[in-house]
Amino acid sequence: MNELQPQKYSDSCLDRGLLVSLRDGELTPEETEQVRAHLAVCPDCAADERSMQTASEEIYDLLTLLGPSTDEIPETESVFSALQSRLDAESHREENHAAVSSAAGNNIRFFQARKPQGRNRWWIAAAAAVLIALLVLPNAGALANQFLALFSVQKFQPVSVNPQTFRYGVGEDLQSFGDVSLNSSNLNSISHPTQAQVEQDLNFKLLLPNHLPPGVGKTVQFTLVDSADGTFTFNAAKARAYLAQTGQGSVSIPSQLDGATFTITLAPGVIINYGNQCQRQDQSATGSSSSAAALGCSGGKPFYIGEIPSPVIRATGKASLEDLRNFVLSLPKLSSGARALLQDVNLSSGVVPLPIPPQIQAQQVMTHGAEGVLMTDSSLSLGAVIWQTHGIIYMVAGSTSDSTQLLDSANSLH
Amino acid sequence: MGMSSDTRNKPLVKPTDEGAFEAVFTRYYPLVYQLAYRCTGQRDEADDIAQEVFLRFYRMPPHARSEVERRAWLCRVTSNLGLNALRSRQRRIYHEERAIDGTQTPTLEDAAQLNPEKHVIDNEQAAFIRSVLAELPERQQTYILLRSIGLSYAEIAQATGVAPASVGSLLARAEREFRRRYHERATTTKV
Repeated sequence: MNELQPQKYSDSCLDRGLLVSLRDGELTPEETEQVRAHLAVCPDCAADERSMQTASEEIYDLLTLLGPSTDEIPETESVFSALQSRLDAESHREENHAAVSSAAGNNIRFFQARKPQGRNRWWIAAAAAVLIALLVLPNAGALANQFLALFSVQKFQPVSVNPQTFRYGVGEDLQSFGDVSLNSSNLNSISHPTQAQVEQDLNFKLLLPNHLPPGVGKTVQFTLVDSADGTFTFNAAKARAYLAQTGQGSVSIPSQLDGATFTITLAPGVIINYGNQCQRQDQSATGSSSSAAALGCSGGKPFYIGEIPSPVIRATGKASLEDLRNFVLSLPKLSSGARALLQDVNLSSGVVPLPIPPQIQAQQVMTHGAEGVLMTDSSLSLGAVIWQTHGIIYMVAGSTSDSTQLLDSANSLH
Repeated sequence: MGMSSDTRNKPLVKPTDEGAFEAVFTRYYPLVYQLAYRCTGQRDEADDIAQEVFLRFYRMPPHARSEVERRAWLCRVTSNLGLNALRSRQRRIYHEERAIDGTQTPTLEDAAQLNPEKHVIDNEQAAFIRSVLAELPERQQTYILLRSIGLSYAEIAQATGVAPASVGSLLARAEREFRRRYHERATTTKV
């Protein structure tokens, strides 16, 4: 069970890891016997073992001070009752959403293609815009139990945007009103994650397609998307200076916003890439610690699946997310596109607007029992389906504008 | 590998299986709370994290094929949430301090003044230990915390995605680094 081979125990000094394993009773009886035999004849290792024991006692005594003591652990029964109430409330809310979705079910909107743009990046940009928009979502009323205001995305609604009036500047603007910090873990330090490794790092079940569009390669590559959390702390002095500088000095800042903190948490997700050959491209040279792994499949038609847990937004201070949204909406120089996007967030139904540029055709579709959005760009032969179910945002995208092929692949995820 | 393929890939608990969920909760809540508390040192936060862990478990149970895998999953999610919460709090304290009087990095004593409630719950020494722990690479923090609440090497391996045979060495390295930093800080900081 250990990295060192048994025959090494007798003729060289023992690895400290082996001594720690001995201390923790993690060696096999045979290994234990061999290590003990070595300790009996090697004064250096015996001394190491004694000092390791002393150090261990000190370390774990210190860690015990972190608590909690047994009597500080809450009674399981009462916590379980509270959890059940929370689950009941969520279940009730989901029923309400289903009713609202059903009423709005036929609201299908199409948008005409006009001119090609980008490459196959627009769907990533659209998803990124949604995440940015989520930073300024309103207080989640029913879920705002305890001290938290909490929101997570339920459904997407395609919303036509005019690139002339819309800009993805909401996130940048936030920096003018306070301090924004983002932090991500480093899951993609695993250089070639296998499916098993990916499944270990995700907090949800990985879904894979049974069906791929024609021409898509069968080789698969996984790229972990880091867990991340961001914090925005409103700073009234900074905001006032920015407003004065930009000719918006007449805007009043609600007192509860000063020092209020908002957080966004993203659990780890995965992007699955198909091709004839897949090769990882390390972008560590860029210095970016977030999502440093590039998608490196080639051959065959490009095809991607994204499975990302819905971001969770919390207002942890004295102001609610709605206070923040109202303030942002009160800014006279907010772009009309960003204003429309913010106003389109419908809290009661949990609908989040998905900005769709003119060249993209979009329609609402049902997949996996959830209402999603199918987007296609026939001039570039690109398409994607995005939907949310069980707290996970799924995206299927590829080099095809054939709606049937895209939906078949989306529906075949299992 | 004696299981049939039908049962092998099924989770031990289905989302709708309320009785089984309660059994898992009853069995593992103390462990999950303990780990969350060790990460954060705050009752409310630990309770919140523990509830979030079981909500995730309820909504989408892991495909655990054994108790080791299930316990490891619970601890992995808890330590991720706990260490994230700790990191966020440290950042908040830092920003609060900057907002008050400039760019100086807060000391432990400053943090205590900024958040007295924390120090009612979290005595000074525990806060010091936690701050030393927080200086370690996140993986090392996780190895030590998981071991400190009694996880076996197989469970630590399962929770962190490393080979079971590597756990002893990784743990030894993490312990040595923690102890070194603790003594280094203790000689320069009043504990």
